[in-house]
Amino acid sequence: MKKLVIALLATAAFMLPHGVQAADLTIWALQAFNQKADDRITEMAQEFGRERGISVEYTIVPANVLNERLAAAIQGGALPDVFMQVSPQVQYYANLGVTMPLGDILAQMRSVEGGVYESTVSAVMYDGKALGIPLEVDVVPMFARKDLLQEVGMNLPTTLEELRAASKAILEKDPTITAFGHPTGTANDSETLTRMIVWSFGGAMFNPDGTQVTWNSAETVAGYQFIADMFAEGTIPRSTLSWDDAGNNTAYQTGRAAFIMNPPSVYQWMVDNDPDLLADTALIPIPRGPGEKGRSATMISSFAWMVSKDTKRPDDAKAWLTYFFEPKRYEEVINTVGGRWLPIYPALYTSMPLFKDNPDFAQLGEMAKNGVVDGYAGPPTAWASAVFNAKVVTQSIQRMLVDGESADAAVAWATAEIEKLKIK
Amino acid sequence: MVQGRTERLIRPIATAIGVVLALLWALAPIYWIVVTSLKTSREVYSSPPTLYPMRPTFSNFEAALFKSNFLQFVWNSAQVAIAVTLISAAIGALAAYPVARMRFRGRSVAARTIVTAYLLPPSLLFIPLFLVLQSLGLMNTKLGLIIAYLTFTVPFCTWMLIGYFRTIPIELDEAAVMDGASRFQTLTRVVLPIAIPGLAVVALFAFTHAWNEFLYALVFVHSNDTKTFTAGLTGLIMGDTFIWGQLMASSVIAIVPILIIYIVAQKYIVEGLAAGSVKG
Repeated sequence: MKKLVIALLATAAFMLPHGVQAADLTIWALQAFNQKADDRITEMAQEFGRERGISVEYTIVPANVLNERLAAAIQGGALPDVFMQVSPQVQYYANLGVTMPLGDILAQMRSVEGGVYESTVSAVMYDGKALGIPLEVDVVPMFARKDLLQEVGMNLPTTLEELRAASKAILEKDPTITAFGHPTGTANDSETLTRMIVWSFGGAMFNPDGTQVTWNSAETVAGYQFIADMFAEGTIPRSTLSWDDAGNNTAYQTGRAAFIMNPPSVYQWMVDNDPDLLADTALIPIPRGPGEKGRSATMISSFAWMVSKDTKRPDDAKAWLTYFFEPKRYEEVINTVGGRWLPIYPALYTSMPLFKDNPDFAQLGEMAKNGVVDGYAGPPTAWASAVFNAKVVTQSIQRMLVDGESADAAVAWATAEIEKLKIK
Repeated sequence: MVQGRTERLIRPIATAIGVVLALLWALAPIYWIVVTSLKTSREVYSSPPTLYPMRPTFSNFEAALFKSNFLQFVWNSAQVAIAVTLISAAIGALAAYPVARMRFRGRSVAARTIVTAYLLPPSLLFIPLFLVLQSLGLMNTKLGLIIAYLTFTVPFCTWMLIGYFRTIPIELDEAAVMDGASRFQTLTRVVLPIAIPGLAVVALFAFTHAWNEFLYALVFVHSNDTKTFTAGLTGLIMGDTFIWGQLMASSVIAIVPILIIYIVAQKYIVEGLAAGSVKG
């Protein structure tokens, strides 16, 4: 027994690990959608540390846990010096007062030839100051199956009515197909993509200065009705009610969907795994809605860097951002990500072979330029973020699709909920 | 009572059907994990799904073992889980013995408080624990994670051992005292050797809890040299992109140690659980 106890204690002493020396500069980042890109940026951070003579800890945090991690860090007063989040969250952290203005970094980037995609900048502005720096552009095109369209003798849809007609024809020919893979569950995709349909019909959630709710309009109701009609006729299948964020990816990648709206992560998967499906696919702008107010609306977002206002190394933190955005170095990062990120500099979009030599990416630059951000027709605000996080739009869609409420009633309910979330 | 012919015939058939159903229920998810780990990404997304890999590949295992930090994460998990197991079994035994054997005021309150501590959900505790670890300078350290895990493994081990110690005849303690043994000697030389099956069970459960724990690992550690495999697996989910093959291969690798331990310790588990549950 004595020997056993000694052996156990010795093992415990060996196993009890030691503390980790804190780095001079701590950076938390989201994944860049592929391992190579994450490795490259990590390497860059180390190179930056060596050049500057400081130790840098670059940690990649999965997107699905970053909110909890940051919440705990804020509570504990241990926010990393620099951190990355999706750009709509910049408003949230700015509202908490935990980030510092980065106008000087933004000015440096704007001075690069061709500037930056200004469409992404409003997301990081708070009280007239840049509280974050957008580090890429995410656009959401439509993925369309050319082969299925050809089988029913139709062209790529340019309007939402054409999309519906094509979906009907494809479903009639093959009843097992998911004609339009529009998620109607409670995933983030559903919240984003439903807005895009409503915006394409000419609806808007807020007025241009973001102070009034304008969701309850004839255009929004028409957008809801469009979804309800496609759901009723089966072109948006009932199974979409249970989809998570990967639902539409899976439907398309398994070859079961004719149309989906999604960022180019599906494209990258096809490049790596399914050249046949890739050859049968076209990336097109979101089809236009009807009437004078109808438009092709894509939601753009981006990842954004922020710097803790309590950092003990503000100069090093900002120097990291300058280092990261140096155009040559930045181009290498974008190349490694392989199309999932559009560069923040329009000049790189037009000069990089990755984009200019790929006909599939031909429309993305225009979409990045004209896309709108959450909070449309106003700027992104903490209020708009709160509405997104509360999933008000998807809840109202489910009231319509599952509980049988009319489109008018569902829109009226959503409007009342949005009003309740107003941040004074 | 004499069994009828029909009953003799039906009983083994019903038993066999029950066993097969139970096996399917238990093993189907594991089967799916294993076959998915052997599929190419294209096949993972094939429609209809394939029941077994058409072109088996070990590339997912190769990626998990040699092209990622997963082995480091497994090693971190092992270090944390072993330390947690040893400490919780030791503290659990020391705490359970007086509650099971000695008479003092507040004994039953102490026993109930221990259970209450175990029942507090981790989602309630993670922010207070974060503050504690932060102020101790133990964030992003394996030691900090071990301390966090002890908050639920120690109450669990103590509670289980209270039940187990009560199954051991008190006369043995009395005989030891008559022979001049102290309380500590009685515990270490008389009670614990008899309680080995019970100790094995609590050690195993503590190990399993620590091995599989997810939330604290996600929040309290983040660098590659501290991250456990459960937190490491989330790195294979990138937004709406799931690296299914590698996720499943990594899961298979992570199942192996716990499976071996359970198979080896099966005898003790059955003995220990039965004793604690019937006579506790």
